[in-house]
Amino acid sequence: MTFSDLFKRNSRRTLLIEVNPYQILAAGFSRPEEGTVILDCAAEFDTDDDLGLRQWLDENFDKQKAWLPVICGVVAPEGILQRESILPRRLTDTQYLSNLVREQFKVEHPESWKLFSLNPVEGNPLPPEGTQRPALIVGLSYTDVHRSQQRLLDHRLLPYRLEMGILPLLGVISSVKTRRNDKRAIVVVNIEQDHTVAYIIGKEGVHTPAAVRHGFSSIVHAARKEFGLAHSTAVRDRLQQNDEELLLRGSRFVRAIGRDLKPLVDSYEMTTGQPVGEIYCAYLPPALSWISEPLAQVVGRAPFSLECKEWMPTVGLQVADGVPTFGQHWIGALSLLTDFPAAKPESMPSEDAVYQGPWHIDCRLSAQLPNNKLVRRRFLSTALIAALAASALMVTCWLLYVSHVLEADTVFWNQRIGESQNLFNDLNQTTRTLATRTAKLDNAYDLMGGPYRVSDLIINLGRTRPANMRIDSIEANEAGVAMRGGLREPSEQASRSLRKYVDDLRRDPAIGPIFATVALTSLQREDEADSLAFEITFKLKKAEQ
Amino acid sequence: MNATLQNFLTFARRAPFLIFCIVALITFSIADYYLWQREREINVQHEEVRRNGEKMFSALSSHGRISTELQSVNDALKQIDDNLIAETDLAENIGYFYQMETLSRVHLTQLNQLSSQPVEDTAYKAIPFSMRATGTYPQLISFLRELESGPRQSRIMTFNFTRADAKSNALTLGLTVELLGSP
Repeated sequence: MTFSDLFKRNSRRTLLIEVNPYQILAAGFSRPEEGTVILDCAAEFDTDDDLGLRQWLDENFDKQKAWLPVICGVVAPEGILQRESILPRRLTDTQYLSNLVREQFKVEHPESWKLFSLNPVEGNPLPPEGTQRPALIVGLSYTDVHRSQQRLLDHRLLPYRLEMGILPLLGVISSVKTRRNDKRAIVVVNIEQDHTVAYIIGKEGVHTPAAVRHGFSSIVHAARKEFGLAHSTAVRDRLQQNDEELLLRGSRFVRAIGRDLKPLVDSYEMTTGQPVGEIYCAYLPPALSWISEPLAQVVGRAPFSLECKEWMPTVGLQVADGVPTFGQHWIGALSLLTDFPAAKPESMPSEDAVYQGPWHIDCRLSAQLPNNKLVRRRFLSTALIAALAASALMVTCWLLYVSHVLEADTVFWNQRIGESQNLFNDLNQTTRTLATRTAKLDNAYDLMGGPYRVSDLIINLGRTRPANMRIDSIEANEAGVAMRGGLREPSEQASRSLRKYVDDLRRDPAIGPIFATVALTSLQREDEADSLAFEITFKLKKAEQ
Repeated sequence: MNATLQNFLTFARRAPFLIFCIVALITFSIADYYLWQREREINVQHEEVRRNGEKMFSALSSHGRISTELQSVNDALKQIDDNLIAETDLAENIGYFYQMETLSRVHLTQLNQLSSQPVEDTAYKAIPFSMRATGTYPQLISFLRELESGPRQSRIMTFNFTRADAKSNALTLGLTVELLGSP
C-alpha cells in the first residue's frame, strides 16, 4: 500500500457474492481507479456451506476490522420478474403496482414486497408518464430480503447492494448480444428445483413466458431411472460425474424440461416474428454444465457460450495474478459489477438509492441494517476513548510529578528541621527556663508591686498644694488615700478653690492616672471664721473594681 | 466457551486499538485514583512538615531576643535573691531599717516585725513590719526614698503621714511595710 492509497476511498476491498440455486460464488475485489475492478480472490461453496464461507472470509479478509462491505446477488424462488403491460402515468400512485401485483400474480400482501417497474429493453425505471406499454415488474418479498440480509450479517458482511441476481445477468446477455450484433433472441433458463423459469431476450426487451413445471428434480428423476439408482443423493452425485455415458444420455434427462420449454420458445417466435438463436442455462455449476447442450438440442437451439476471460475486460473487470480463470457460471455474479451503457443521470445515485443503474436494482431493507456510519461512529468512539485514555495518562503524569515535588519538598524540610533540631531543643530549653524565671519574677512583683511610690505621691501632693492650704494628715490603706487639712479662705472662695484643686488633682499627670476617683468627701467650717476643714479621698482603681 | 466472552474476543480481534485504549483508560483511571489518594497523604504530610519547619525557624529567629530576656530576668532575680530577708533573722531585719534611720536622720519611735501569712509553693513570701518615724518633712521623704529604692524589695501597705505639732515642723509617719523574704 502506498501513501496515496490512503486517500482512495474506492481502493477498499469489497466482497462480491452471489447466492444462486446451486452455489454460493464469492470473490474479493477492489476499485483502484474509476471504471476498473480488480478481482483478487474467488471461491465457490455449496449453498449450505456457511462454515466454508466463514473460513474463506477469515483467510482472505482478516485485515478487515469492521463490517465487510458486500455486493450481493440473490436468486429468490418466490421473486417476481414478469413482463406486464402497465400505464406508466399511474406509477405516481404508490398503490398502483401493489394492486397490479395483487391482481395479476395473486400476491396477498404486496405491501410487504419491494416492487419496481423497469423498461424491458434498457433495464432502467419507467418514467411515470405516457400511455400503456410493456414493463418488467420486479418484486422481492421483505421476507426473502430479510433472510438474505440476515445471512450476510451473520458473516459480518454489510450489504452495500442486494440485487435480484437475474436482472444484471439479463443485462449482460443482452449487451453481449448487442455487441455481437446478433439479431436473434436468446433464451435464458434458470432451472430451479421444481420448475424452470425462462426469460427470452429479444429486440423488444425481456419477455417472461410462463414457468415450466419441470425443474432439476425432473432431471434427477429421469437419471434415477436411467442409471437404476435408488437414492437421490447417489443420482445427484452421478449427475456430477461428467463422463461420456452421461453426455450420451443427457438429452433424455432434460427431455421433460425441453418438451415444455420448446412450445414457449416457438410461441415467442410466432408472436414476435423474431427467431430465437441460442439458449443459456444460468447458474449451472461446472459439474452440471453438460445440461446446457442437451437442453439446447431438445429445444432445437444452440447453446449460448461466453468466455469470461474475453468478456471481462470489455466491462472493466480484471483478474489479479494467481486467481483462476472464471467459468461461464460466474457471469451472473460478475454481472453485479458490470456497468451497463445508459444516459448519464444528472447526479450520481446515492448509496441508499434503489436504482443504481440499468439492470441494477437495490432491494436492501436499509432500516434493518447496521448503520452505515458504523465505521465513522467507531472511529469517533475510538477517538473519544483514546482522548480519555490520553487525558488519564496526563493526569497520571501530573499526579506523579506533584507527588514527586511534594516528597522532595518534604525531604528538604525534614533535612532542614534535622539540621536545626539541636538549636531548636536549646531554644525550647531556654524558653522553658525563661517561663520559670519569669513566673518567679511575677511572684515577686505580685508580692512587692504597688500602684504608686509613697514618696512620689507625698511630694506631688505637696507640689500641688495651694498657698493657703494646710495639710494635716495623709492616710493610706489598700483602698486608697485620704488627705485632710484646712484652707484659710472665705468659705465661698474656699469651696471654689477646693473644687479647682480637686480638678487639678484629677488632671495632674502624676496623680490622676493612679486613682479611679478623686473626690472632696468632707468640708466643714473650722473654729476660725475664715477657715474650712476638708477631706479629699483618692480611691485606687483596683479598689474601685 | 461463554458466548459473551466469544463475542468479546471477536470484537477485540476486530478493534484491537479500541480495546487497547479502553484497557489503558481503565488502567490509568485506577492508577489515577491510587495516585490521587497517595498525593493527598503526601500533601497532608508535607503540610505538617512545612508548618512545623516554619514554626521552628520562626522561633529560631527570636532565639537571640529570648536569650537576652532570660539574661535580664536572671540579673533581676539575682539582685532580688541576693537581698531577700529571712523571717527568723530578726536582728538583721530590724537593722536594715535602722540603717535607713541613720541615713535619713529620722527617729524611729516604734519598729516591730509582724507575723507573716503562711504560704505554699511560692518562691517568696512577704514579711510585714510596722514602724513609726518622726522627723522633718525632708527627713521623712528621704526615709521613704531610702526604703523604696533600697536593695531589699519592699512594699508600703499603709501609711499615716501626720503633723505632730501644728507649731513645729515635726511630722510623724506611721508605716506598715512588707519586705520580700524567702519562705
